[in-house]
Amino acid sequence: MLTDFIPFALNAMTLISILLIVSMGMAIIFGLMNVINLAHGEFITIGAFVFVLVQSFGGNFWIALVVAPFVGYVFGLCLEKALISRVYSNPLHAILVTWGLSLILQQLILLTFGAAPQSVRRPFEGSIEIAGATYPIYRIFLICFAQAIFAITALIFKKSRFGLELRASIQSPEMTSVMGVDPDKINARAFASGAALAALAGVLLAPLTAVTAFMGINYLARSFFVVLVGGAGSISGVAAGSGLIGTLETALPYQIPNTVAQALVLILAIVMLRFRPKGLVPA
Amino acid sequence: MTDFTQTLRRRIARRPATLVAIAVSLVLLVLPAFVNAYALSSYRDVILFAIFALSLDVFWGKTGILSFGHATFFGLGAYGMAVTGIHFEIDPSIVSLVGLLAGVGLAALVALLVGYFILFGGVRGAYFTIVTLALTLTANHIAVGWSSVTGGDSGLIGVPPLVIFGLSFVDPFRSYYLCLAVLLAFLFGSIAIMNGRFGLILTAIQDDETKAQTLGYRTSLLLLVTFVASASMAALAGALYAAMNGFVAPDMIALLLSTEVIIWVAVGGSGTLIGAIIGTFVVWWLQQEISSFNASAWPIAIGSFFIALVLFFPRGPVALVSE
Amino acid sequence: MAPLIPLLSLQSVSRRFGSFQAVQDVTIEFGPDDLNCIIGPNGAGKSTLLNMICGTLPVSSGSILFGDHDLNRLSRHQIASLGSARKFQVPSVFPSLTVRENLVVATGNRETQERLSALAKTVQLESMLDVSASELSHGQTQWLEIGMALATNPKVLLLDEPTAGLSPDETQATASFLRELRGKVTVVVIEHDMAFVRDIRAKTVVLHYGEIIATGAFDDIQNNDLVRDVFLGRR
Repeated sequence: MLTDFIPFALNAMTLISILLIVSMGMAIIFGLMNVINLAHGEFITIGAFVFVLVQSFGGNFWIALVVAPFVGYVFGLCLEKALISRVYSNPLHAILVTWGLSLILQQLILLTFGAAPQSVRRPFEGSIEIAGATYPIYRIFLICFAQAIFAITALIFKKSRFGLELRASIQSPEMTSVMGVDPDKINARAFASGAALAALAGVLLAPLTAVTAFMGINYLARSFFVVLVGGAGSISGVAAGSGLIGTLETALPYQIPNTVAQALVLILAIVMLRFRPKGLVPA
Repeated sequence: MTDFTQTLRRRIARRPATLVAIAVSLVLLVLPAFVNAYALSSYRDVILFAIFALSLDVFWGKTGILSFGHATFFGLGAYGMAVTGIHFEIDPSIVSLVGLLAGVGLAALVALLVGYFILFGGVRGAYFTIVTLALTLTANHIAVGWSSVTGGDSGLIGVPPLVIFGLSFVDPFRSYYLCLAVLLAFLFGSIAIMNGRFGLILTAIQDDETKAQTLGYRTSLLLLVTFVASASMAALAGALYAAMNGFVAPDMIALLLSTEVIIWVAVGGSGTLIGAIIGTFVVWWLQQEISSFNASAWPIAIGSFFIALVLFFPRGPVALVSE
Repeated sequence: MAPLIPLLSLQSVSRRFGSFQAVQDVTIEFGPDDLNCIIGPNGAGKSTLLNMICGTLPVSSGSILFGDHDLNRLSRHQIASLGSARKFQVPSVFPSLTVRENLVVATGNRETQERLSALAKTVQLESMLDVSASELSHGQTQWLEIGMALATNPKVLLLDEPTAGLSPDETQATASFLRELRGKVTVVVIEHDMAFVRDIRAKTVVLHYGEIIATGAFDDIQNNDLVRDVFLGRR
């Protein structure tokens, strides 16, 4: 019994951990800044392809782990200046602009790298034994690492000056600028941070899945669900949402076909929206 | 006839959009005289897409709520028709009608359930859009994953040709005029309804939903009715498409199709109804030209269009993206 | 002759926001087809009271009866269908529609052109029927809103500061068409402008810190010492 449960629990934890990082970025951008970013999945893809590039230049996972968030951050900064800053007040425009961006990015990546799935080397090969079950080391690493990143980000948010300035500037941009803080800079940094987190998730995800130009879109919907179901704008909401959605998506396919499982998660999100529109743990 | 309806009729006749609609109808009526049979089949398909675009405009143009999920309904119509025709042993004389009912019924049901939960939960605007986006993604996954029923990635072929009340619609002329008839019925019906009282109420809801509620209107219900009607229209177009082309494939229930139909409506001007039809024809023609360069060129063009639309024409004369 | 049943009856109504008591133990009866006025200094609880009467705010304690319906159990649109109509403090009409279309939406039933014109005439907008609501002056927007409220054939008309931002001429015009409504519909007006209140000759209720301190005809209220002190800031 335990030997069946352990892999299941660890699989769930893996998905939850990835969702945590991806949704953290989404929670900052959507939950706090109220920007609907349909290109969020492409940040993940970019992170994964940075890993591919790093590898082709002889680098490894650890280098990619540092480079990708940096690339994501810079990219996020440019995007914010060029496009996102113009659509803060208009969610419909945000949807159109980021969706258009997503289409373009997917095609550019496709044209650059081709349609064949890329593969990357894991930093840890092999498995270890846990209570009689064997489980890949890389996944265990991913779980621990992702949760650490989540904790650090949460801390930065709650305790650091940047976190405070961000929360203040979202509540009231006028007041914050009066206090000498530049809301434009804050917005740019926040958006870029969200992008960096997603890119990081892309690197972590790459060894587990087929790296293609279209890999990000599944995480787009999921991260929206996590933020909507868990509660937009709250850290514990992201944790709650990731936990719920990650567990469901791992557990359900054991009993029912994958496609039905996905439909059920969608239905859950819709029902939650209806009855608890502020999410499980509102801000 | 009260003088109230008399005034309405006068106003319908005076609106320029109605005159354009009449002009376009006349052009489409005589079109077959000028093109060959093969091109006619292509035009017939464009007419079906125009019905699809009209269905989106009826909802988006009037309520201001953007749906990224309309391809779900088109696709449900198409797959409903195909699955009933292929997997079940039904009398050939009524299989098309049953397929139409199945496709439209399925789409209406999904729209009813999803719409009920979201609209009655007070969800509007961007959240609504996100949910419909997720809906299309999920529907697409099911279409690809449930291969025993849907044929998976390759879809299904062998959809029985359209036969209604003993009349077969295989011939390009007949099928063209049938689709045109459906389009014109929907077009002028929608114009009449949206220019009338119901349209006024929807505009009022878009202006100030709370005020409309204090006037006694059950706004969520009205929005739901519009959503379900719009979904049914899209499904009908999808079902006819499947029957007349003989196959279905997952790209009929895909996110890309949902974004394309948004463009068709946006180019023509959302809210004008006839604009959706004109937009479909214009964009279809553009797509033929652009795709011939490179398979990637079209998605890049769409993406750039969206960005340009927001950056340069947020309230443009040609593309009215309402807020 | 049947006893006069109050149309709208508030019994010991109170409303608290956290520790702040906005409305305290208010008991009033509004008879049918009366013209009534609620006055009081800023912060006296007038708008809160109005919000509770039309259902946008629940009561903390006490009950509000409309005929014999307990408003506590009804939703906003149910209350609307009972026959109460309200004009908000910040005028809200439908800017995308014309005056005529606004009235059409408000009427809820198929109405003849004559009825719409008559409505427009009551609120002095008969020459503006085909003008877009976004082009109306502030005063005209207030009138349109009152017109829309009247269009629903309400039993009770609730007006929240109908003369706010109006020119003296517009205020006078408003007073005159309100006077004409006496006997046709129960009106409850919240107001600041004392000249206006005197002009419409309404039954007056004075609120202070959420409590009623006086009721009666305006002339009697005017001579009430307590009321005078309150308005002069001595209490």
